[in-house]
Amino acid sequence: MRSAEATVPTVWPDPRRPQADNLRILDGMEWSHRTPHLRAFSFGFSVRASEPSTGRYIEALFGAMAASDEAAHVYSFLEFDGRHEVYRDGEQVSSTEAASTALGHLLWDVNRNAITSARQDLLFHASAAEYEGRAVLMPAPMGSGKTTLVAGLVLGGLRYITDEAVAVDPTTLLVHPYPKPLALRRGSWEALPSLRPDLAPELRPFARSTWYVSPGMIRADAIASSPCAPGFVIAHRYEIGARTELTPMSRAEGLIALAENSFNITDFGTRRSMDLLAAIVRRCRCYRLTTGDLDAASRVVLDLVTSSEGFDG
Amino acid sequence: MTGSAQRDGIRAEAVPRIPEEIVWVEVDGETVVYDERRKQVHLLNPTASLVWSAIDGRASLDQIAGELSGAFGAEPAVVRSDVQELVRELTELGLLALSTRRR
Repeated sequence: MRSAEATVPTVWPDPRRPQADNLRILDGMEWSHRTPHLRAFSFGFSVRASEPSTGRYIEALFGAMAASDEAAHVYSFLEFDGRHEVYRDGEQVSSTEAASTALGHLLWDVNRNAITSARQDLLFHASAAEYEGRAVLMPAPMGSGKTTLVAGLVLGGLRYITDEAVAVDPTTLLVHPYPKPLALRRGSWEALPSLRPDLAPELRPFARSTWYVSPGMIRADAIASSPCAPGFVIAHRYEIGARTELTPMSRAEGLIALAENSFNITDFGTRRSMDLLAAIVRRCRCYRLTTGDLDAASRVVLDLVTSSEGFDG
Repeated sequence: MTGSAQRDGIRAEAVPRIPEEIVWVEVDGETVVYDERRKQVHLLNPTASLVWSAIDGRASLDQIAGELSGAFGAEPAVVRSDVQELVRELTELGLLALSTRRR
């Protein structure tokens, strides 16, 4: 993947070295591409890449996170002699032969730091989409199809908030957009063929095990650009072969679904957390969704959310 | 209090109270109860929530049952039995503690 002899460093960063030394070495390298400043919640970062096509690809993936403020951190994405190394500042995040793994590690690290940077908000393991100024919160544990479901909703006309971590401001109770790239694993590909990345041959290894999709690539207005009020809580579960069923649940059950998928409920103290969760669900209609067909699940949620009775609260 | 209350070891004059480590919130008539010590969450249905809301650490089981039967025009003996059963369950779960009022 090396394109220019000029990028060959004479001194290579090494995870055994002090991070400050690694950063100095990385800063001294030539970089063929640097992204603009980006922001994931309050985590400011940029990415520099040794390969121009990789740099442009990463920039496109993170395009919805462009920020005007200064980035406090820099990721270095090195491709060299068949290896891929990723550093955050001077700390090694990934070292692998697999391009898709290196990119996955980069996204994982950004996500981890984004969540850490938003601890002042109530954080939920959930995907979310917006319709007419109201957020559909879909709390669920890993492996429940959060990304597939939200991708289907965005394809159906809703606007993307996130596929991973929902942040709710505890003062305003508004949901903040976190438009990270959608990470679609192989199991979702059949349901979402239109999201297959159209990549140049040298970039195809990045999509070998996971399709990374910039929400802005789905359609021009696919991203919720400002905070919005919560409108729905849909606790969903994927079960192989299960019939798709969307059933109302009480707001108290919705509260429990949010609590069970909270990253940081204890940070606020139990009393305040319970009051905040109650305040959120009082603004929402709550449902339980069981499905074995995420395509069908997207359709029933779209029908619910876009119907005129969907927001009578 | 009925005879069954005493058979199950909860006396009519027992006073249920909510321990400090129990935090709850009522939403649309249901109550979500969180046990900080055990890190467990419980959901009380609307009927159980009515009983829960009447527990103030001062009223006895008999008084709570009397208050609820009066408010809803229900058969006092039935209400007493239901309140006793619920309080017994919640006490076993650690969501309530019982004390005996001094006469």
